Amino acid sequence: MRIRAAVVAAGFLLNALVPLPAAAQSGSVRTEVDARRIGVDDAVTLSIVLDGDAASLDAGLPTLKNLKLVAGPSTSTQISFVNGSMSRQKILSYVLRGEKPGPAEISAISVQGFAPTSPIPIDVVAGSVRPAQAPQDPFGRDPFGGRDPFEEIFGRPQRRQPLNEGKLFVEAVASRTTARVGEPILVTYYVYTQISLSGVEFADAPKYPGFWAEEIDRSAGDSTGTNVAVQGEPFLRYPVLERLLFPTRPGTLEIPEARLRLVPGGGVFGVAAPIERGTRALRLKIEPLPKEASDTAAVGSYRVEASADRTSLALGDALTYRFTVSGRGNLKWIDAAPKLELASARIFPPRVVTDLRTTRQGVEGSKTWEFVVVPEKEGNYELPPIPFVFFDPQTQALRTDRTPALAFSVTAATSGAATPARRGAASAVSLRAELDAPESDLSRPAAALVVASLLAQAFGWRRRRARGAGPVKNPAAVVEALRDVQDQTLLEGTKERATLRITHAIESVFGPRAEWPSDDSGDRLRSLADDLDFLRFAPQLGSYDTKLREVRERAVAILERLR
Amino acid sequence: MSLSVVRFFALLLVTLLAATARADAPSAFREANEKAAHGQWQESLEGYRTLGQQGVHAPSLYWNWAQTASASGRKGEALWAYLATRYLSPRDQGVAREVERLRAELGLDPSEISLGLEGDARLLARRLRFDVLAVAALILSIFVLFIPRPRPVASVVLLVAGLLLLGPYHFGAWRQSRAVIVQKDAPLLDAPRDEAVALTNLREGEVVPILDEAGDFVKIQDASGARGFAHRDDVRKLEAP
Repeated sequence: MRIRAAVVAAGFLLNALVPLPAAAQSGSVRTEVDARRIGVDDAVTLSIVLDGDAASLDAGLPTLKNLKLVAGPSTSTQISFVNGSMSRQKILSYVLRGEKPGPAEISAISVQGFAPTSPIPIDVVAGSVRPAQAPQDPFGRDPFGGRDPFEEIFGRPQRRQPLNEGKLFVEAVASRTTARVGEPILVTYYVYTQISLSGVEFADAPKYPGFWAEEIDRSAGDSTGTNVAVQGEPFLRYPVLERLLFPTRPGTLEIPEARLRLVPGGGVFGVAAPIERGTRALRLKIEPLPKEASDTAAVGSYRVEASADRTSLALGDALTYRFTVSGRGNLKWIDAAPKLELASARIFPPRVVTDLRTTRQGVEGSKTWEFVVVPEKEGNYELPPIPFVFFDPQTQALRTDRTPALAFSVTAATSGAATPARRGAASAVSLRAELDAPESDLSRPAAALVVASLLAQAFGWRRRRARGAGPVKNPAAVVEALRDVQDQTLLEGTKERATLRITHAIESVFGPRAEWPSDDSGDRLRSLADDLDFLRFAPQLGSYDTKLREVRERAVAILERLR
Repeated sequence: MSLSVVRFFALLLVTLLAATARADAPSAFREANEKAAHGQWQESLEGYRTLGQQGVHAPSLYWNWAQTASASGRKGEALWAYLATRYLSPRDQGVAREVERLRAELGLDPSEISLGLEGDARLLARRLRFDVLAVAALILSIFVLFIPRPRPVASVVLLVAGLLLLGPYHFGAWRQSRAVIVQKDAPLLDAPRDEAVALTNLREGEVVPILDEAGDFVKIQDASGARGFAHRDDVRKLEAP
């Protein structure tokens, strides 16, 4: 989906230019000027010519001495097919002026992988020494001298749109055809068109067997088009996809054909049927790394650094050691942490911090392993140099870069900083003189008491149960006493007789009052006896039937519990 | 000679050796104190550790251990030793003050040295001597059953009160085991292996629950919620010494 989105976006950006790479096995970079002697009123054109492989790269404005930039850069590219092979050339043009009479110079420029150019001396004199420019033909075909008048008005470059009846083809271009395992190869997919397009997409996602592919971090202007000539015919060319490929194995590897679906603009309703075009398969020769290098060795241009966050620390503190590899190449491949060992110190597994971005030249940035080192003893330590071996494509040789050894010292910590002015000068610690006993903990004896209390509860319950409602003196009399108390004739006589019968019934079971226990059951019996005495001796001023019935029911309840 | 007899004598020997070692404890303690007073932190700490391993559980031992560890920069270990002192002597105001000071130095939130709900409840119970109150209630619960006029209801109420007062002590025993991070920036690993990936770095002095144990590693969860494995050397268990 990302590929498709990028491609479609590229398809709609039909109105700008982009540098043009072309298929060639070699190339060159050179600088040219159209005059070596100019006046301060004259202009001189500097051309940076990038041929072959160099055409896929960029070059900045060189340092100017006694010259100033007036305009530029303007980019022009040329592409041509000769006997089936394609050649490319990119020219960056700058317009310069002299600042004051005297010697001036355009410094050398250096493009990675190519020989640097030579500096160009220019002599600047007063006035003007160059012949006047030939006047533009006012009746020529282009009254604006090749410039688009709408460009300045609308703030965007305008291109002449090709006719819809024109040609259309796609092409995949590799930045190189031979490489080592792990060396980056830039593959760019272009659409060449003489018609306007409203959409471009891949029919299938491109495949890269034998490669590890990385998406390039692109800016918005990277998908603009440019005018090129192919076999003498003008085309608009758009880069629709760029991939940075890293070969993972040696041999002849093939990038299969990729098919693109192109949607021409126009038609009756502004939409036309899509057209499919395919790129040619690319064959790349991948050479192995030297035998001394492992298959996952770093390839590129790197340098290593090491640092520690402190040079002295107190025992118990930790030191952070950082090992950083920075440069350009296949840095993402490097997963194994460097080996760091130090006697009398604990070294924890490292945390990895990466700051990488993928450019057309490779994966650039840095990768840092952070180790936490905890010394276990006081003294002086030295973190050893750590070697980093990589294959340098520029020198075609294995190189080893080493970090410097880092020394640090570990001292016994003093409490002065942490506890200022808290302790006396004589001693840094507040010690206690003798071994003392821990504070008593009665929770276990209490747990034993819980058990004892539970046992006591059980004992008391059994005892109360054995006693029932009270100290029964004559269990055999319970039934008889109950029958007597429940007798229907009990309440028919006088209250004195009734209470006397109930009292006799109770005493026949529980004995005389003096023998009743001093617990709850005895209290209940005494309460009943008091009420019986009250009823018995109370003057007959009214009916006591209700009270008598209530007292009888209490007596029945006490006796019932004994059955 | 049967195996059980051999075991008996071996056990006897170990017991005798331990008893002998404890008999020498006061002199070993003084020796360690002398080294601490002269700033020989390592030797002093070794002495305190040896005493601890010999089963000497005195508040003053862990107090001095904490003081020495703090002076030597091992603040996590110092906090652990203070917490051990607090366990043995929960009402010691000096320990409470030192724990608070060390917590502030380590930049920890009070919740990050909490022993959890059960642990804190137990500590509070020990400070307020709930055990003494419980013993009193339980003795009364038995007493009221055997007076001339027994009070069984009052006895049950006193028994329940005693049980409630003892609750923090014994329910606290079921709490999750906890440990103190004693190593600064100790890594929290994604697996119980030395070569495992470090997920984050632990904060020295933080009290963390132990979820599991696996060989030389313990599975813990820090206050931020990160969960992983720490090396046993980087944490020290909080348990009844």
